[in-house]
Amino acid sequence: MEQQLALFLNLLIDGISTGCLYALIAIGFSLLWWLADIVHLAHGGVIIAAGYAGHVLISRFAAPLWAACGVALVIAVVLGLSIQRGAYQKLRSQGTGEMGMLTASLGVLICMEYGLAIAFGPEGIQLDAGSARTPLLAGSGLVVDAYTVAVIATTAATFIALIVLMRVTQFGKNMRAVAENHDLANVVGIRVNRVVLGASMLASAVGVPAAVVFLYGRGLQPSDAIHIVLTAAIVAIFGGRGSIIGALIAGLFIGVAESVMVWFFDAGWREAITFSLLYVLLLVRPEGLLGKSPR
Amino acid sequence: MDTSALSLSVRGIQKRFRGISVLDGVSFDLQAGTITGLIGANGAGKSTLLNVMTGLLKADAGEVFLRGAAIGAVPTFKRARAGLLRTFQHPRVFPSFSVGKSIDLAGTSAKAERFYATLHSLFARTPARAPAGPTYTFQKALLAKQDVAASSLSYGDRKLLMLAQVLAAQGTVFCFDELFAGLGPSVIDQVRECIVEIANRGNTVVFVEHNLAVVRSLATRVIFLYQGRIYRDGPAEAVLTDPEVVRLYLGD
Amino acid sequence: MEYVLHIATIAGIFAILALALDLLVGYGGMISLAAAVFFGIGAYGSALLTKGGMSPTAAMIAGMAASTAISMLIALPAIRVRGIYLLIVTIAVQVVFTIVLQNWRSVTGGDAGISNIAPYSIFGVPLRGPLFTVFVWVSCVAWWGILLWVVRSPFGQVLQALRDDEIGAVSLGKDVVTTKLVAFAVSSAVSAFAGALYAHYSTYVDPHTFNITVSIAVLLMVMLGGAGTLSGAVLGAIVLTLLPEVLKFLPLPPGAAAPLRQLTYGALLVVVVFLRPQGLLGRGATPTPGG
Repeated sequence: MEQQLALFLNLLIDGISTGCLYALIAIGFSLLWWLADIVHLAHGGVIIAAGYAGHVLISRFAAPLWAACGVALVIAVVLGLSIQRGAYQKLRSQGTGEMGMLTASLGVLICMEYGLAIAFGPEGIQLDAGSARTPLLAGSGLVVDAYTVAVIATTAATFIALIVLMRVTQFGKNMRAVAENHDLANVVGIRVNRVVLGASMLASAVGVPAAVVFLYGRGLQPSDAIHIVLTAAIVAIFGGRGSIIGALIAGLFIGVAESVMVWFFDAGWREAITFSLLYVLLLVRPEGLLGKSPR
Repeated sequence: MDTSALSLSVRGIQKRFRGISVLDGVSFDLQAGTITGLIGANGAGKSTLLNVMTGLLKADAGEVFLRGAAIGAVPTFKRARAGLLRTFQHPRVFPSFSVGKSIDLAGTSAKAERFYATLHSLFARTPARAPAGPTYTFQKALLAKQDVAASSLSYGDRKLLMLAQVLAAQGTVFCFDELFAGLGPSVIDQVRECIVEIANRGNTVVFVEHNLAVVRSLATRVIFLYQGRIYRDGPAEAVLTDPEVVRLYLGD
Repeated sequence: MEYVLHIATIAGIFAILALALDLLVGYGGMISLAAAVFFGIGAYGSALLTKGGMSPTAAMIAGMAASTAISMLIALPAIRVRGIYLLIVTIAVQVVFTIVLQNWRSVTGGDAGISNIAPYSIFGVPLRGPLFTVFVWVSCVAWWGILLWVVRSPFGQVLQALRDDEIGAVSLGKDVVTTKLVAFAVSSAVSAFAGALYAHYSTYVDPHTFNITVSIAVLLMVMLGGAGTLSGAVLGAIVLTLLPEVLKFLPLPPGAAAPLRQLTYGALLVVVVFLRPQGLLGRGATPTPGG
């Protein structure tokens, strides 16, 4: 295959892989924001904690992947729930305003990040995907391995599951009702608090595949926490909060855009491009590309 | 028609919320020195109309004119500076301000609020602006509480504070949204007197009100809004005794 | 003694920075994580211009002007967007700023930064040691006084009214646009002043001194001391400058000090919001911005 084309396609594939990851980290954040106006900055910390949990099980206890995922899931859900109940709901009932909620969320994120750094050291963790990294289409010049396929498959499965949950299940319908109008949902008998707690469990759960992808991919370090949740926020804003499809499309778009940027710009500037794009978006259309217009 | 006396006009205002037409082609003219009552059942679009007139909402179609000039694209604060002021159905206060400071805030000129004025005052003494003396009992009562936190005022007092603020801000077109709800009878009389005085000075008043006795005693003209459209627009007595109006308004 | 002077100088510089942020966050109700951007513009500005031959005072003023101009990048969106959206705008600007500092090597020296910055001097007389510390604190008190005057002025009243109830303020004719722009301009200029002082004091600037971690620390100083009080900002700066020094005396495993300090910051943020949202010096009765 022609050299330049192969390079471009590889960037594209890398972008799609990254984009899937972005979509996974964003959807949990986006759902909570849409549902209850909660800016769950600590989501980044939850994902990293899940990653560390999985890592400990695999590297220190030689547990199989499915077991590690299970434990990571439990830990993520417990963390997410505790933060929801112990922090957000408590503060809301105290009458804390938006700035207080943001500050508290930021505080929890920082605690998690540095707590993990103290417990495990700041260097970060990574797992070797081993044979999953063998290029599948050897000789074509395209870098596609089982890992990439797994990432895309996991993302697809997660999103399909989410869409089904949203459309078909009672819980999904309840979520939509609560997002639409808290008070009205209360009146029709929906336990709003329960739904929000359920959503935060869901948000944490969806973060686990993301953590696994990170582990076997670029690795995780505690200092990634802010970066992760920031990316989640960007994707959520781009895709419109609460929109599952939006998160997927936005995640892929940003992942591919970042990757392809390397074609034109020095790698160091990549992030600057993304953030500049975000800045322009917020100026022009703060509700995101797929969100509903405010006025 | 003498257009110079037209202080506020709206033409063909349309506004939809989620597919429901809240305002559907509303048009009327207000003359300086008049008091117009705006009545209608809940959800008829009265507050929405006020929001469109003052610029807090953008109409889907139609235009608002202030003294003949189209102000659809003018931001709310500029409309207010041009004299278009309003009070709110649910009383608003500035929680960290005292009563006195709230009124001072309303009465300060745009010029004095510029940052340049602040810098200038660092170096030169500007003569103290003589505050306009209180005319009405309710204003005197508020001044007696001038160091009280605005957030600790009762519902009725908050409404009076809103009124005092728009008076201090020297408007020319006043829009009151359910001002009389929650006020005691003696206060209602004062406020009525105050509004009559505002109009006598050549200003324009339009007020949304559910208390029809007050409307009858105050308004010279009444507009009846029904399902987003003007159903009747005429002399107060005629509209208020119109059997159709009574049926639609009270029947809802 | 030198150690005490060092702490005092750093505390003073951050007090000025916190005062600047309090104007925006406490009095303007606009949350920002970009304090380090303007701090950095002032610092790098002074570094580059004094190396180019300008006098420190002129360089400082130039840095303040540049800072004001760049602050419009946040101020203009701040008119329309608020809450989390504004926060993300400030984060975006902060992150891009750090990236620019790291990658625009020809100007900023990249990760290596700029070193050998001369000490601050007035009319050619260098201010070193205790003299500089005094200068820092005199400046701090001066800015404190100026900002106090600003928040008590009609302009300041409008700023606070917009914070309390923007719709109400705007309906009374208050100019939301100009007020917000000016608030950002003043805040960023004062931050740049602090940055200039810092550059001359440490004689060395690099991107890591002006990243989001620093912005978070300054926000914490304001929240901890009490947003919207000015004196709270100064107190918060003093407390948070002393805190890491206190931690140094604790028997900790090596390498744990830095993350522990950050962990404490995070914990403090949460504790403040839970127990005393108005901060140490804030008034209990009145709600905090946004509360």
